[in-house]
Amino acid sequence: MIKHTQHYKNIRPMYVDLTPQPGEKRLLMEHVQVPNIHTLPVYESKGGYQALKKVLESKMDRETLIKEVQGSAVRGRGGAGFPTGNKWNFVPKNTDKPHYLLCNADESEPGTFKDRVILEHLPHMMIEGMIIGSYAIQAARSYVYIRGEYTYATEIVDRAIQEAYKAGYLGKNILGSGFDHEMVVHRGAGAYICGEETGLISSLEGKKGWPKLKPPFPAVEGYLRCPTVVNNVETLACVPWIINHGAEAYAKIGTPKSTGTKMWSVSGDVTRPGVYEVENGIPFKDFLEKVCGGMKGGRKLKALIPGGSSAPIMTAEEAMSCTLDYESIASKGSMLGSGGMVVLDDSRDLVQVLKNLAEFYREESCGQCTPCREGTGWLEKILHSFTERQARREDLQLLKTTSQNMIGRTICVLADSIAMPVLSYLEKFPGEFENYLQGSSNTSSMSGRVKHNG
Amino acid sequence: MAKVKINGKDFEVPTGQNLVDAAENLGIDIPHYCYHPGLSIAGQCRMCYVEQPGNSKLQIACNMKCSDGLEVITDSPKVKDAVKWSLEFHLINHPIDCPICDQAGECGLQDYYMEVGKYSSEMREHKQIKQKAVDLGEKIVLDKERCILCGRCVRFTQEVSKTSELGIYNRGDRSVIGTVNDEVMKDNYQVNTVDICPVGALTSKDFRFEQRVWFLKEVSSVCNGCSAGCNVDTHHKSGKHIYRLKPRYNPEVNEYWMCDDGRPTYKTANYDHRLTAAKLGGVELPTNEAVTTWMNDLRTLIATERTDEIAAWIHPDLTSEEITSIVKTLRDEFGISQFYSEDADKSARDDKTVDQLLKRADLWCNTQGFLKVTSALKLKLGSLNQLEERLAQAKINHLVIFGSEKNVGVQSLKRIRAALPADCFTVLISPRLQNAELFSHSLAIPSISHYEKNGTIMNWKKIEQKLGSDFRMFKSAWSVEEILTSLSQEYQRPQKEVSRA
Amino acid sequence: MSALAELEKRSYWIGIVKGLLITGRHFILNLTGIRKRPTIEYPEKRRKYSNRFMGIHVLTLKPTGEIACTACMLCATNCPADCIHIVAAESPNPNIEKYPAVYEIDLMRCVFCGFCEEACPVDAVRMGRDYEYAELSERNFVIGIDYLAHRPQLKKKNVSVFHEPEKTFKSTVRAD
Repeated sequence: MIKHTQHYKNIRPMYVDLTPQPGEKRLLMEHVQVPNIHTLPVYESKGGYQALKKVLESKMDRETLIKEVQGSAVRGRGGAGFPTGNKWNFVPKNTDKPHYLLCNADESEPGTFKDRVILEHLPHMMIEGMIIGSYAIQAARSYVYIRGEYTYATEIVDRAIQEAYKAGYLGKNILGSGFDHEMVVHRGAGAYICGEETGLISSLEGKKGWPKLKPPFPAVEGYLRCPTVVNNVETLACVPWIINHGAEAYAKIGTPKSTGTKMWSVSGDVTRPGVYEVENGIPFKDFLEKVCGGMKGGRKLKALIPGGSSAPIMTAEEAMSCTLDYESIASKGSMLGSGGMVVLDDSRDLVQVLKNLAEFYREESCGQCTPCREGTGWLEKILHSFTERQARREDLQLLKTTSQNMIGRTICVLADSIAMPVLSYLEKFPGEFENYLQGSSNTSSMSGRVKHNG
Repeated sequence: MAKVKINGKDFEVPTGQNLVDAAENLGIDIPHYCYHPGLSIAGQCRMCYVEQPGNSKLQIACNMKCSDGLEVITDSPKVKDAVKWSLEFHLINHPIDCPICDQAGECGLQDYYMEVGKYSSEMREHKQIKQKAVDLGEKIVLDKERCILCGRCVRFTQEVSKTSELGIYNRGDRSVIGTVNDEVMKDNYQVNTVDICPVGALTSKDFRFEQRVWFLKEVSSVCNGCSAGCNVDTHHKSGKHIYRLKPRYNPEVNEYWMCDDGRPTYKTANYDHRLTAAKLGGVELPTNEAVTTWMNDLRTLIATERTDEIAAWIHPDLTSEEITSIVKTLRDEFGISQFYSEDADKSARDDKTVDQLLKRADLWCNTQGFLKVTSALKLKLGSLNQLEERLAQAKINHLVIFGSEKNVGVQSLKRIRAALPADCFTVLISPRLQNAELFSHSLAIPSISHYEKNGTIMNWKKIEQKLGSDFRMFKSAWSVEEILTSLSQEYQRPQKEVSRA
Repeated sequence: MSALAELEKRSYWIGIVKGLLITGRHFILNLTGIRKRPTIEYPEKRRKYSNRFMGIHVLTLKPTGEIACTACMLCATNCPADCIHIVAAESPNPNIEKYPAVYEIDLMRCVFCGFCEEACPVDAVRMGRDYEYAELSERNFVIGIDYLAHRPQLKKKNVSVFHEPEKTFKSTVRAD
């Protein structure tokens, strides 16, 4: 048991109203409002651990299990959207090295807080999914890498794991199937880059949280150079439902390419910010009106960031005409990402928004490769000069060329996470930047620069 | 061998060789900073981009191993533009220290800037400020602003010298290289990090501000610090002053590295440690006159068949050629039979590695060569104790001492000096000034230092290595072979005059 | 033959007087300044040289008074006569990293080409306006930092423009 509440006595669970809204379709969050659903007895009474029993007691073949998950076409819910079944399939079958399953509970993407609901209210669903996933990839040990700031959630998850051990769902010879499994909780220490899969692996190995070069991919050489699979919390929480109700049932929900439901953490200028689970393919218009209660104060929508701050921004017209699934949002030039939706009304200054994002990425860049390390700093300094009204006309072009030369040139995609939004803001909202230029106090080169370095 | 295609041309390269190395061997330069063939692959600097046909994303060459069918392009406009921007990213926070930085002239940023640079930088913001001139001990100075975070020094201390003294602290563009709490470094291989640092972040205190590198020439040589025989390059200016030693790649002996104890061995070659003119009793004279003086005393002893009163002292730092010429001239030509030396057998027996890396316990550099040559020429060697005895018994009237330039031979010389009777004619052949001062009453002939020698020495593994030097620092300092040749010429000359008369 | 020519042929003093009149004419014209001579009466009057005159070198100072040279040795590298000798050292001032402990120019070797001034990146060495230098011994023609940076003829005006970017490029080292 991790004893850390001594230091953090005043941390409380996240306040979020989890009452179901019209328009939601709850597969994961069906029982989230049941009191004490985070404890084992209540979870089992609501049908928990049936999927695990189904898999282990029928001694389901691992190939069948992986095919089931592949058949459901569930995609990674952490941001990349890679089909989970395929990822499990990449693990080589016949190696003498141990396999590992890592659960990525380092939810640091700005705007995303949906995993926190699962960690604080539905930890057993995640644990069940992890055990099933570990069985599928023959992992004898799995880790939950939970971000350091989630102290309350860490305690809940830790207690849940202890309950699972006591009940025999973890440990040796689970449910008499001969499958041994150990699960460990590992706390992070406040780095966004440790949410990247190879950064997570480096951090778990005890090193600096620096992402690794790919190839070799983690499925072949990952944690301690053994085959590793890294999955998001929500993805793993989907697995019990898929096993219980079948892959076809899951594939029927949503759109053919984006199956199932997605948990969205909505923040910004809406009447009801919160965490909602909706079917993939619901039009954004309906989502905004029915589920989130419309824009706050009746204001007009200006822009939408659909999938956490790494997603390129969408204009109001694009947002209103899209549906919430991977393809539709991608066709508008953005990405569904992690589902951290930020709604911006017309009172928001987008240059200031972009500068806040640039500050975040500059702070969180690990500093390993040069384009990201220097580029994030440079972008932030230029945007700072914009907000200080000291920008030159050439800075607009400079932002563009710098961002273009950061994309695809780095070890991980943190550089893309700032560069693509910058390009999208410049392309879709050029007027915002012009405002700062026109009011700029000077348009010549060096003198009078406000000194700014981190 | 694998067939690869680079820039449209087919080449055959060893399978599994790193692409950067393979291209360099073929004469194609792929710019890189963080890649080093003696260290693990980092892929941090993002300079070694190559294009693979069919892949729109550029790949890094240092992470690619040559295999059959590999096809890359290194000179397309896309690659060139990417390299240009990568260099730009390296330079935006780099301080403009070129006038005061020791690395100027051999700096990675300067070299690639001239080749592929984006000559007009667009960075107008203030640069990151970090600590400058951090003292990391008695050998290295660190400048945290100049560091481009290639990570070579960190990987070196982790993988090669295994002390892990250097690390990267902070995140993002606040990252710095440093030791824990800026402590001093105690590693005996720390100056290798200065060699591998592509910029002037880590600089050697010994070389700090001494000279600009474009004035220096290099000759290849072998370190004389111990029996490991690490290959070095001697950097000198116009053959007048040696400024530093840098390790040279040799896969069998020292790979890419050398220990720090071997680096100051060049200092004994510079003028403040050197005997620059022949001296007799403290009075300077030209070297050829000194040889004549020597021959005069020697001739009387040879003519009256008292060669058993002549003794010679040699040491295992001499090259094999020098020992051969000593034996041929003194023993075969003049008939001297008494040779004494340091205990080379004991040195060879007690020789072992000191730190499981390069440095060894035997501080003589040619012990194995000495043993091989002396046994091949069947030279009978006496020990220091025996020499002292004979000197005490006043049985030696003429002593020839070949003195080493290193500290390790001084103890024996002091003992000889103490045992030396006043009427014994002593000839000291050594490059070292302190030796001449020790034998201030005798004839001192200056010889060349180790880094000016041309010869062969053998390291502990019996690998023969050539010393190839092309400069002489002092006109009056001759090599041992030259001294003995002129001695032998001197020996033969008056006889002809006598016979003519 | 006329009587005057006869007289001239016979007497010697007419030729003398004629010659003396020519000499006298030159004498009066020069003495009274009617004819402009190119001769300048040195040392009372000195020739005025242009702004770009290349005389003995000047080492400039920073506004704080320290020498501006950073001992980068570009001037020594560029010099075609190989006459600059520099020894760099660590500065006692913690704000300055590198400075020349020894900076000597051998005026006997120098050809006054100005390549050193062109090479310097920080305006530390310039060709000055002095040209008067006479010594009795050849070794006194090797001038050091004292003479180069602190000679009284400079009147303390040799401040490097690299450290004072607002100033325009005006020769601050007029000796006259």
